[in-house]
Amino acid sequence: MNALPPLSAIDEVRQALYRAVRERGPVDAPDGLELTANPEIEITGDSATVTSVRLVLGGAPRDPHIVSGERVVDELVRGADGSWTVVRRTPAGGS
Amino acid sequence: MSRPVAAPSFPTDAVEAMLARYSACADRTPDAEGWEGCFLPDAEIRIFGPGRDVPLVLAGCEAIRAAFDGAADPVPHLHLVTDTVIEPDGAGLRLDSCFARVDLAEAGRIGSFGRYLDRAVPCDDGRWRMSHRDIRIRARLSGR
Repeated sequence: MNALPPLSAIDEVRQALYRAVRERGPVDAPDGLELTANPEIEITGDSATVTSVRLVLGGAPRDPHIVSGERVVDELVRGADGSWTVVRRTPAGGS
Repeated sequence: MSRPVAAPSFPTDAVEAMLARYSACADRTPDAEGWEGCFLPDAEIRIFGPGRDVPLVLAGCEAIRAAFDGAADPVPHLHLVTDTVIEPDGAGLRLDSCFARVDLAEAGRIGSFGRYLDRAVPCDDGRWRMSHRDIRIRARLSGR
């Protein structure tokens, strides 16, 4: 039995983004790790955008270093079942 | 007259505060509250990583304190924890986070990175604490 209250809408969006990042993995560092920092979340109806700093670490196992970093915007949509899906990522300030 | 009561919210903030307390301890921050603010007395940590085929197991909060506070570590550093995926697990939560240790000596660089896989439970004082943590180090500087 789970007595915890439900996630807030902001947390639902954030969790969906983190899961998507985890499942995809960093394409520019196959053994690396992608960190999402400073997420700013805006929800409008069934759409959401997350502006964040993406930092990719690589160099496993003995030379950890920063491979890349950029500010990105992820766009998410909410499906009929209420779950959020990432549909697009673009560089912040890009089109 | 009755006052409106805010609906209880999912304990995201409390869990993030627990993760922050751990980082403060691991970073040896002078005002860190101590390991007992992060772990149950019988908590266990397992450390997996490069060059370690069998995990190092720290059983109990005292063993955790002794291992982390007793080890010589001359490099000042900061632990960043991000991307925490939270799953309800009975009365507790399972957490899957990314971490990076940033070494601050000289020019500074990434000292290690990997994942934390935790189980956390609510405690009587309103805080959340870990009953278990797996530290899965994916990369670590040679010699560490």
